[in-house]
Amino acid sequence: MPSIYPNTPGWWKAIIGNAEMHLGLDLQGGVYLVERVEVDKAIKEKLYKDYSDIKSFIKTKNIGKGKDLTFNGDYIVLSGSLVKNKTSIYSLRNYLKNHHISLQLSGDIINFKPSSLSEYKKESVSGAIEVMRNRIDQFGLVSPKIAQQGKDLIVVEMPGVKNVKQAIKLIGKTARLTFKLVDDKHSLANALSGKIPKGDEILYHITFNKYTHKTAKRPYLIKKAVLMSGADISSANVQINRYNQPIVGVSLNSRGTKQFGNVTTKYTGKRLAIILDNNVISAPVIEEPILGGNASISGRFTMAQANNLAIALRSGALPAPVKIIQNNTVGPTLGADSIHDGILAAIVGTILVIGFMIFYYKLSGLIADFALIENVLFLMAALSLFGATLTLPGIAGIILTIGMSVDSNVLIFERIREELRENKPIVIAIENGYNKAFFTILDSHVTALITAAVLFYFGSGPVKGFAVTLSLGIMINLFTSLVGTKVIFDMISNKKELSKLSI
Amino acid sequence: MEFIKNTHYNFIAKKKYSFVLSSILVILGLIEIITMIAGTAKIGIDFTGGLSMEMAFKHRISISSVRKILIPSGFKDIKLVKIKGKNDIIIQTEAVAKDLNAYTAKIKQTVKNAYKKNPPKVISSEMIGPSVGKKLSRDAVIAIIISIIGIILYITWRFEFRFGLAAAIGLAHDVLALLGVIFIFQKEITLLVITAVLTVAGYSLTDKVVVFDRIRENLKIETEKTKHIDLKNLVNISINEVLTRTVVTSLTVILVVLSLFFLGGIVLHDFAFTLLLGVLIGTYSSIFIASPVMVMLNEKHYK
Repeated sequence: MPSIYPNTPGWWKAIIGNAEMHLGLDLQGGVYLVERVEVDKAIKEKLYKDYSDIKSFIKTKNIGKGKDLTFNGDYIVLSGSLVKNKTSIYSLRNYLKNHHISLQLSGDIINFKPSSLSEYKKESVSGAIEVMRNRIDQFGLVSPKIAQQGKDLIVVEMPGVKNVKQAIKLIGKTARLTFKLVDDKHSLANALSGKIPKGDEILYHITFNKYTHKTAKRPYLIKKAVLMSGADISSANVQINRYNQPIVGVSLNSRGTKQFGNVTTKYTGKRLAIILDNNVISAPVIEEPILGGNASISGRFTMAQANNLAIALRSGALPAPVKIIQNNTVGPTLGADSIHDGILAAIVGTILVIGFMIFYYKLSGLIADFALIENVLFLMAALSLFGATLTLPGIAGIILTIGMSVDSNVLIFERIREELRENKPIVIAIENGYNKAFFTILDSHVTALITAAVLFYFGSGPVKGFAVTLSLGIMINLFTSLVGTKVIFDMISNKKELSKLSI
Repeated sequence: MEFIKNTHYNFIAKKKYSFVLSSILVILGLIEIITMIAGTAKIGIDFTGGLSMEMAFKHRISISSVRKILIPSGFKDIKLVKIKGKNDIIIQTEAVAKDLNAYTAKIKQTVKNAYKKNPPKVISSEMIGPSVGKKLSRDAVIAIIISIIGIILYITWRFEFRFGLAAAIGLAHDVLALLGVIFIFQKEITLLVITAVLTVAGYSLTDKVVVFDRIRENLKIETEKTKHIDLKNLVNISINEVLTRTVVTSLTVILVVLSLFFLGGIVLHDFAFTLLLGVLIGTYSSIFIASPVMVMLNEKHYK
């Protein structure tokens, strides 16, 4: 009931549940976000990471001094021996060719090749769209829309869901998970007063006290070197630990398992900081090497926080940070006239079918009409229980169910007529009609259900939503058209000996 | 009330006509698929992307009235979004012309001419990518192929392999022939049209199961009586016996689809059109395609 009538009484909501049917973007509008993918930031970060790789290559192969390689924020600069020594330049070029194909050395500068740069920019944007789409799908929004606009903008449209804020936060989260070491050798107090040791940084663990509504920041002195990233996570799920708190259990792929094993073996006894987007989530002591490829992240999460973190980790990190540049509420895309037309068509269609059934099957048709209305109401209730989003195609689907729902009854009635033509008694004709038509109806419903189930399993986004409506409609129809009408026939034939059946 | 009583049409004999007609439609359907893959078919902006421009009007504006101006002026596939709290409208449309600026100017001029007293300003005009990934259309194709296999298996289990194969051929025929009609009418492939095609895929089998069920029943009775079964005749009798069912079940759906077609407004027009043809094709194929195919597959078996 709450799905079609918003002012349902409180007791109803308390007993039956308060599932309202969400209306899609086309019917009620929603949030219209424009986000900019900050590609330049991502490029700088990528270049910085490559710079660290090249530096360690220079050091380990001993082809030059580390200080001769610097990063000025835009590109990598060579100086001193690295520029003068021809063999150094030669081996550096070779190294770039084999390990950093997107970079080129020209003069004393290492930078992206122009072609790789545009390629990288394109990939960051399409990658970001893919990750966002994944997250929104997992968040359970049925009909969002995501599209690229211009070069580096992403348009996200979401129907008016209640937790829009949470959804926006989730899709915009970079979700870059890194594991770094806590620097226990140097004093945190010194670092906080400004003397940060070389290669270290200060990151914070932020907690929110729900009673005082204050956030607390706890600083950590962290070594900058990234020991491992979240790229090798194969799955992430919310679990409950023995203190009854939600934690996020993480499984790593084979490469990640090996890497994580190495790290935890090498640094047993030290503190490993788990960092998400520059926030320290937790910094547990490595008690023993972890070789199985499973780890858990605990950080005093609420259930919702843990769930969102798991989604973010599963869907992978955004290749570049995104920034919301436009956040508007928009009206329905269809406009009042289209919605009005759709509803009018639904009503007229229903009246036509109801009228036809009475015209063709008399009182029996009326019984089938009763089942039809039952069918539509049940379908609406089921859709709102599943939290489905109703869009115009969805309404069309429901209208279609109206046309199809009487089909089973047509099959039964035709059977009954056949039996009556053979001059069988009415009660037996009804009984036979139902029995003989049953398997035909079952078979036709199962074949339709196979199609719907396959669509649900392989489809994504809108197709999935449609498959839900279709399969629910088929299952409910099987019940209402058989049980719903049989009950009435039984009631009629029990009361008195029927001499004539209106069919 | 009965429309059809004791008919004795020889449906199977008409197969030479129906097979020719269906082959043409199926071939056109395959062409539609090929052009879809090649990107030359008419595909909606959900799949291809297009132009997105934001217009700010001076006074209140309704998207219904903007739609009524743009569609007659030849901008067919448009999506309109109104920003709440402002008089801004976002117009999304396919970019037919290569020259974006000229196209933007054309839309702007069309709207401006219509709203002399409420002049709009173009705030932004940019290309927008597809909102539905390529994955969706690929997923739909895979889903249909797998459900065809699933249906063959189910009907083989409940009936016989030859029935299952005939039903699956019928389903494949219905989807392809429907795409063939879409090709003939050069309808645009939008998300709604895809939904309609998938609905037809789910619905068209129910008719075939009804016919096959009766064929099976009659076969059972006949095999007990005689060893020499005239399969063609038996199938014809079966189709005639359930003809009312086939017609009436399709009719109830058609009643609803017709009301969608005539009253549902511009947005649902193509959707209703596709469904209408899909239901007609599905009904036609249970009688003229799936049943004769079943006879052909079984002929050796019963001779």
